[in-house]
Amino acid sequence: MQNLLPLAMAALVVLTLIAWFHGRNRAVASAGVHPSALHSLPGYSGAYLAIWAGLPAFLILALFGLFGNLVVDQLLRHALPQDIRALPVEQLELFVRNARALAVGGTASETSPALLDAAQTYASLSRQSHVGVMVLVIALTTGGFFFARRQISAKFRARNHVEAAIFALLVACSAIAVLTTLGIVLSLLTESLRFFSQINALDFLFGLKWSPQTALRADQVGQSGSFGAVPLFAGTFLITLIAMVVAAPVGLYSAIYLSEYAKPSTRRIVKPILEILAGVPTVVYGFFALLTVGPFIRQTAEAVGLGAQTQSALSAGLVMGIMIIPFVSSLSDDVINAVPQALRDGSYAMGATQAETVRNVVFPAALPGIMGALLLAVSRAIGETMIVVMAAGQSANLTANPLEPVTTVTVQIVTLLTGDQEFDSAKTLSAFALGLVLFVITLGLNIISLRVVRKYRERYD
Amino acid sequence: MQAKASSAPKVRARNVNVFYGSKQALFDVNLDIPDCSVTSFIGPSGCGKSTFLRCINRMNDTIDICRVEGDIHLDGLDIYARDVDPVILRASVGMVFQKPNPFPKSIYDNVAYGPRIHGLASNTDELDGIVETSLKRAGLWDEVADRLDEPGTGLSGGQQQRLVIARAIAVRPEVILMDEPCSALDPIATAKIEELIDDLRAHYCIIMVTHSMAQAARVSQNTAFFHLGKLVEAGPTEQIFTNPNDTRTQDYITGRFG
Repeated sequence: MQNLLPLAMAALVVLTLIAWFHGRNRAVASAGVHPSALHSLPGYSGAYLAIWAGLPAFLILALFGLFGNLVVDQLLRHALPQDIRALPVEQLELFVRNARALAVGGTASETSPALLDAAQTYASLSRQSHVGVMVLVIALTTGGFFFARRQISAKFRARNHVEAAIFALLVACSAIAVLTTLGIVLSLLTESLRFFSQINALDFLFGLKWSPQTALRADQVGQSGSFGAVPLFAGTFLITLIAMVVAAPVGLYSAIYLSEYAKPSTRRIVKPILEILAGVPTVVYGFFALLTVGPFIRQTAEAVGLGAQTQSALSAGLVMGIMIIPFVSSLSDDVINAVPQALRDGSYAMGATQAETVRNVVFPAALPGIMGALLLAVSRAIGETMIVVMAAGQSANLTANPLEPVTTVTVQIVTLLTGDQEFDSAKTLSAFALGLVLFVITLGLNIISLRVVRKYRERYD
Repeated sequence: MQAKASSAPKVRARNVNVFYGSKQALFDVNLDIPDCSVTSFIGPSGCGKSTFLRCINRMNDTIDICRVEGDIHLDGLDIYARDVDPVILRASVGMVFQKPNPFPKSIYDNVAYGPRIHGLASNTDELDGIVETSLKRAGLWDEVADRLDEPGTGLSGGQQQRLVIARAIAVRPEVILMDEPCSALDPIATAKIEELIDDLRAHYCIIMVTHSMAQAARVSQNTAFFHLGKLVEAGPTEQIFTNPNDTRTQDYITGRFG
């Protein structure tokens, strides 16, 4: 029974194709000897018929494939004897799962006469639901087919109908993106609210100590659980700052070199190489920071008499800066190239040198776009996790010394949520609150950078 | 070929050949251009008139594949000589482009751009003076005097073109090149620019590329006709328009006016 679904899908595809050809031929036939008498091209009539024959049935099949099991589970629960339905939720859940496993030939964790009974019920319910869906699908396909077929004639405005269907498809696709975002925000919000019902929001936002270990037993000592997020955000901003100090000048100057000074042949080679940096997985940057940059910084610092560790904000920040160079350079390069050649010509014609032109005309003209590029790079740096986990450590120090290990918001979220966790302790829930604040910050940065970029666009239209 | 000049020519071109890569755009151009007058270059699109114009301030140097042969002299000095810095040359040979291209800066900063990079003013009062004189000379002062700190890009097309002319004047050039300065403007703005060109003629050698035969006839004293990369004929505007020597010139001029 389970294998019926792919088969039905394949049959539906074939039927849809047949419907397309049939609709097209019918439209051609209805036009008689004058093909130009058709309102729409024959292909549109074919598509119209195919949509009516295929789409409703396809939607039903897809929904059944996604949620069919849940429906059958629910039906089974209602069909179970009274004493089993009275079981606690977890046991009932286990029972249903075992019954399903037995019914489809899987392995169950236990067997009993009641379970075998339930498995049989499950199998028959499943069979019935499949048959029901198949009947529904066949009815929809034939119904849609004949309904649409009757409408096709020379005057029928198939094109308008097909385009309306395409419009609906476009709306549905963008709705998926919007709704997903909404869902993420809502789940962040609800979990965060649960956290804030246990911990004061002001303590969280302005507290200076981060030590999320809560006591499991009442007599544990030293597990106070303090949730002051300031050290995490301070660490995040310290590393972001170091990264931007590296990435902003290097990226910007290489963009200026590429767009203003490099010969086209040089540019063709250098630009892709620079963009390879963006393709290196962040884990690999993490190795690099941990094994090469970190020890180098420690040795250098010790050589000049400073205490330092292998894991430090500096090594994470430096490597992250290298990682986001291509962001800055690639975006700035596009922006600089968008500055009209007429402006450069105007400057050269005044007797300005190339450097004067870049400094006084091209750069100011591109500045808003460059700001946008830098802000996008900042939100990338804030959200980066892997390099920091490996290179900056996990101790929540509130420090401005780049040689000390620090930790960031994203790293803490990872450590809070990995491993066995219970989802009702403040420790776990704090991850969502951190995520929410981070989301608000990067959202704000993105909005600002988009605004800036838009302002720049208006200038040259 | 000699344009009628009372004294020594301001610009003197001999055997100028220009190549874009392997394609030759100009063939053996010889032309004398007098000072304190307007000289028009006319001819069909792609005839090389803009290319020749851009040779006079070495703007073609900014195009990698472009190569210029021959001699062009400005006041008797070879501008393609090895020791000439094109950047210095362009300060004395200004240029105005087809589309107004004010910098995205204030009106004041647009005009002050050239004096600043060439260090023409030693203090702000002096710079204010240069800006004011240049804007007055370009006939724009009355319209912008009270809003010098507004962006130059916010002006109308005709005002922008006059701003760009003021910007070019501010570095005290001797020659002003204009590459179809009115082609992006409406008739009223065009009339204002033509009037301005006529005023400027007293102080500068103005060389103008134009597609409008009527404009060439109205504002220029000398006209040169280019065709397929060759200079066909040059002389006083009146003669070119009423009694050309070459049948190609005749055809081009009469063809346009039917």
